Amino acid sequence: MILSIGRQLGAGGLEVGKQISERTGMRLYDGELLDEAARESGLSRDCFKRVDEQSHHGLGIGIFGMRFPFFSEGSSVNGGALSGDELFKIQSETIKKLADENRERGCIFIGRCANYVLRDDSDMRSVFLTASNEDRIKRVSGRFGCSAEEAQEMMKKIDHQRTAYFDYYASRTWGKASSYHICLNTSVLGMERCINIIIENLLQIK
Amino acid sequence: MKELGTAPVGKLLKQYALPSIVAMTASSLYNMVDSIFIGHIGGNVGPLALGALAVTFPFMNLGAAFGSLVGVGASTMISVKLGQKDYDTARRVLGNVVMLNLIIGMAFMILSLIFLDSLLRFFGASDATIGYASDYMKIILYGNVVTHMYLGLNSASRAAGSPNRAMYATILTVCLNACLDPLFIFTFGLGIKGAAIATILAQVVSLTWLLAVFSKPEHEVHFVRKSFRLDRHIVRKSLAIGMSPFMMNAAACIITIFINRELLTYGGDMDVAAYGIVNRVLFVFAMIVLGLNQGMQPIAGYNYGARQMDRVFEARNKTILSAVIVTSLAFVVGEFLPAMVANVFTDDPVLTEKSVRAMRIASIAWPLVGYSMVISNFFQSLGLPKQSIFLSLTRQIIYLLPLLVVLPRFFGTDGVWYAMAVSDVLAFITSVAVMQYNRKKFVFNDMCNSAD
Repeated sequence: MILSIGRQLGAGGLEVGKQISERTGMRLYDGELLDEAARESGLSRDCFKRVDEQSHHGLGIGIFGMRFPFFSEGSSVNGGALSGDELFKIQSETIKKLADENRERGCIFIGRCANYVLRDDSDMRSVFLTASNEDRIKRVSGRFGCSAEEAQEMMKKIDHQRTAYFDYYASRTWGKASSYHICLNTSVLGMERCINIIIENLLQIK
Repeated sequence: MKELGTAPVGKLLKQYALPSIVAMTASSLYNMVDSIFIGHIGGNVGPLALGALAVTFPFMNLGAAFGSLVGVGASTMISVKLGQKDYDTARRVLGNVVMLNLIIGMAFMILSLIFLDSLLRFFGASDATIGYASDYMKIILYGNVVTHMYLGLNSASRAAGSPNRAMYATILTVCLNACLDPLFIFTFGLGIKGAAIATILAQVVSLTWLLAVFSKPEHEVHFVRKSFRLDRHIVRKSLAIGMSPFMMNAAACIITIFINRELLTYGGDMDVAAYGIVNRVLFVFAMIVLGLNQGMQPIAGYNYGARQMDRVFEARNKTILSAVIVTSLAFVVGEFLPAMVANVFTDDPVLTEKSVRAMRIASIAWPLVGYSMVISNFFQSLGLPKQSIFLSLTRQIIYLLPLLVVLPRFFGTDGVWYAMAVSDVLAFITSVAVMQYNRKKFVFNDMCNSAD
């Protein structure tokens, strides 16, 4: 079984992933995915970190040429080996490879469009996690040690980045029910019940 | 991909740069052939017609700007989707490309036709040249949708994993144009109109072929009826990606307008025509360097990412060496063979003399141009766009525009050519300085761990 967890910042995606991994023995890939992709491609981890879950395709960025400078002196269309597009391709190949390697044991991917990359994999199940604003602020400020205002600012920014990333690479809408198999609110249901629902109902592990 | 980190750099450069160089050179030859035939229209029309053609350059820049606005974004998205084997979305992008090109091509045609005469005046047309310029432009504009569609589908074809097909389409267009030009210009006696008809007809043939290819369902990316419906997300994304190439072409358009207007103010139609010749000649060499740059990009980029700086520098130095050889060749042609080159375009003694002078001055700093062009692209390859934008802006706008305004006041039309030479020298100095200033970016803390 392969589980793909999409999540709002502060909705508890990482905790849910860790718990499921502990109870079922499935392997958890969050940032480790980047290490794996780096190892596979021979590129440094920094390259992947720089574009992680971001898409440099906004209109403003388009004008100021993150992809293309004003006068690209012969920049190729796909932007070369270090472009976000090329790195996304490497990363998605890594996701497919890890899914194959861990098919027996099962594995969990957090974010990175795994549900799109593995869309044709019959063993893949996907979930999107949301939570109430208060819970998210509490979690974010606890995790990063910042004030409530800063947490709110961060949630807005990161969710915006994730939307752009997912919409561009997966060509569907981030956080929309039809893009996932189930959507859960960890504040309404509670962490424990969400974890149980995912294990028993979505993954159907007894 | 890993071969980028291991194979000999020289071999990689050849392998990656050659196809780009062929494509780039082919498209610059296309323009050159048109100019050569137009320059030889008899009855003293040739030189004026060349001037009229130079007046339409800004239109061509604008057309290219709108073409890349759709084309670059769409082909980027197609190649991303193909990388994921997501053929359904790739097909939808293709359908959207066609629709967007139709809409933008039509809008550009209608607006340009309405304001044609005032636009041409603004671009540097005189009473003597405006007739020819408008005759030529009208036909080009009627065929504008064809041009946009042809360029759009050609880059889509490149992105869809058929770079060879895209290259054959380009070569087919160039050859057809070269054959049809003398037929329509001289045999049918249509003059400059004939050149425009030949251009559009050649594109119609290539477009028909591309349309036929994309209609075949056995290709992974092909036309599907429902894919033509415009998708808000696809449109927005492809326009966002296409925005910087659009700006780049729009800026080129502004510079061309400046050059034409200064030449017309301080000289006359013959000087504008001389610019037409010089531009065509130097353009070919610039395009070869652009092809080299495209070849360097993946090699420098990958090895920078893999922290193999010795290979990054080897790729950069080999590209600089090749580029400097190419631009030095332009220098040799410009300094020692200018009359021969000018005579390829015209027999007119006045125009020849002006072109020779222009070429001598404008190409004086060209051995340096190769270095500046490669360095600017080098930063882009490493994912350092700020440095790259800065270098491109200095070379092509920040230095050139003020010089174009100031120097002609003192030196007349020579001032325009001096402006080009001086900005090339300044840009070279800036490139060396930026390279020095950023050298600490090329030292990594984790260098020693990545020796494998």
